[in-house]
Amino acid sequence: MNRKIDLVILLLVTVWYSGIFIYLLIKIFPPLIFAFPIVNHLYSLVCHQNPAKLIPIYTGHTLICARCTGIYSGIFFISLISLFIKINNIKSRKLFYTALIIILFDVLMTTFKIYEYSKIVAFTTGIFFGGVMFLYFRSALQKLFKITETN
Amino acid sequence: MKKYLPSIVSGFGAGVLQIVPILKGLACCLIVPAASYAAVLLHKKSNKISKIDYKTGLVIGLLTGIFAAVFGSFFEIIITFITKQNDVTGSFNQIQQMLSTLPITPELRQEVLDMIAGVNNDIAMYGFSTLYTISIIMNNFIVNTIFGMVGGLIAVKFIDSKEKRDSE
Repeated sequence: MNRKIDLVILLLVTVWYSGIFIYLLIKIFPPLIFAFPIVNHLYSLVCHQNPAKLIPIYTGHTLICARCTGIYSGIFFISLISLFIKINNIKSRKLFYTALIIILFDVLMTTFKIYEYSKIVAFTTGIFFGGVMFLYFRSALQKLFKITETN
Repeated sequence: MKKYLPSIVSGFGAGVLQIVPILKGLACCLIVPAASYAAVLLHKKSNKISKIDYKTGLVIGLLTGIFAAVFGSFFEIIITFITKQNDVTGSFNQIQQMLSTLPITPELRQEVLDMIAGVNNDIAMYGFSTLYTISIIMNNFIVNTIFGMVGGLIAVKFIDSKEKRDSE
């Protein structure tokens, strides 16, 4: 895929991803505090923000839960890696189903208290799911631009 | 009008689901992409087309996101107006606690607290706050359009791979 598109995606993903760590950003640039209520609300649209499931960082914590942080970390890392390593198109849906089953299994098991919720497990399953979803998205985007170019 | 119907129906569904607290917590960011997927499928079925292209998927996803943002914002504003409470008023103490842990000067912290308290008071008294309304509309449009487009593209990718598998 066009390197420029990969770069634009990485930039957008980085902006979204860095918002999760607004506590650290406020430490670097304190006036960002005025954006805090709006940014907090923005992320509340995509995550339940259960205080017990947030990842502690420095004196604060992430704005979204461990699983969601994992999902966006997966998206961020794969979008970064795709700049340096050629990633082939995914054709089968098997990878998606695998990632979905793993994440659903953990969600159901912790919801029904079969085993205790673990931030590390939630984060890991999230990374895998996010990475896989990004691969599908990238592959679809690749086809979209291919079609647009040929037209 | 007919070509927008799948996006309107799915966007309406997503808009309603977004304001149901328990569902919102469970489905997280999957509501709008799932609505886009449903809209793409509805579009395919209602137009009786065998193949759907990625550009159409992207547009349907974008439209679904826009409609979800319009309906979601509208319902949230109306509910806030009637009940005179919402997420902000409910989590005011939590935000106050969060702010106390942030590495900033006390003056800056007080300024932000005053700003949130102003929004809180407006909602409690009139059921409406300009700042809150702008923030709701802006945030819903940003999140829903992006997630809608992503959902639309992934939906076409999945439908495409299913059709290829079926034809083999």
